[in-house]
Amino acid sequence: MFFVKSLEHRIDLHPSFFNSEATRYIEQKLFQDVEGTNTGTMMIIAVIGIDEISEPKVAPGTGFAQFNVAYRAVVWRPFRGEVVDGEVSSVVNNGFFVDVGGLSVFVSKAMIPPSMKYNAEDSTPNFSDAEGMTVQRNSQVRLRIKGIRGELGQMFAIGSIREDYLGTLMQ
Amino acid sequence: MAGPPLPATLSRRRPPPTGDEETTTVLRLGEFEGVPCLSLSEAHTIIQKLKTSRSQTDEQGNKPVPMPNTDVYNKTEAYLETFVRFKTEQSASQVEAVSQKLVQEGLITSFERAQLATLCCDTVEEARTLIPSLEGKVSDDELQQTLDDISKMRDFS
Repeated sequence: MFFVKSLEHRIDLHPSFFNSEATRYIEQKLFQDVEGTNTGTMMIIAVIGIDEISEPKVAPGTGFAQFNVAYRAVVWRPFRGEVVDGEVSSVVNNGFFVDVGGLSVFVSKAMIPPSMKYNAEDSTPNFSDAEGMTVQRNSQVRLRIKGIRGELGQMFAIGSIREDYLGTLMQ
Repeated sequence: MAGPPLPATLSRRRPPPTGDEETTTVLRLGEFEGVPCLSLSEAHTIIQKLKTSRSQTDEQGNKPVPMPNTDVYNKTEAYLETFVRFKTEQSASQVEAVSQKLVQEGLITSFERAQLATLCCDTVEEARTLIPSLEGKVSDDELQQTLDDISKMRDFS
């Protein structure tokens, strides 16, 4: 789910940048450091605006000035139990991977309705059932996120389509 | 093992992972409690606006700051292009206005509103199944009315 979140980031400024362009440099550094990153729990997509740049504090021992920049950004954070749409990126015999934005969600066989079976003989491997519902590469599916694990810089998730109103989307 | 006591750790501990955030029958958003939510269409609108405002040189004559070129950003942008249901800014803001009514009356939360605008359910039953926290919150009639208003804005071009 997308949010507009207020966040803080600490930026170190080398003394050679202590001139009239310092504020501009700090803003650019913020954009570079933080935009398009994955913190492990959420993804910061784009910075909307900077609310406040704090007074600088010189770190003892180094000449760097430290600024705390408060800003607002569009972030994306998945939640356990959330229903999301995504595009299938690959199908393997015990499930398939769905790309939901920057997150890859794995739907295992246990989380797929038993009526859907794995077929490897057609042109592309797929899961399909008797009624013609097919999940293959580039299909769009609606799934519920069942679990998320986050490490610094990466997120892993598992999902399910084994419920009412989940599965392939009619286009 | 006995021995001299360890000195107090002076380095900052990594904040412990809370881990119990979920959006099932209850909404536990952790640090996102009370943070404004955006549906896919609204996020798409904001990012398009940022793109245009950042591609122009601003008033102080500073050079434009380019949008990020990371995997996370590119994949998210492609995802939004594919899955937004309300492609124009006008329809997206109309959908927001329509669904915001229920939030203003204190019936649903910001998160549930964004889910309704993103998932575009047809029936009350579908909405309550996909968003379990809606159980017992809004009357069926009001929810169906909101779903119908949202569906009307969809353009099938």
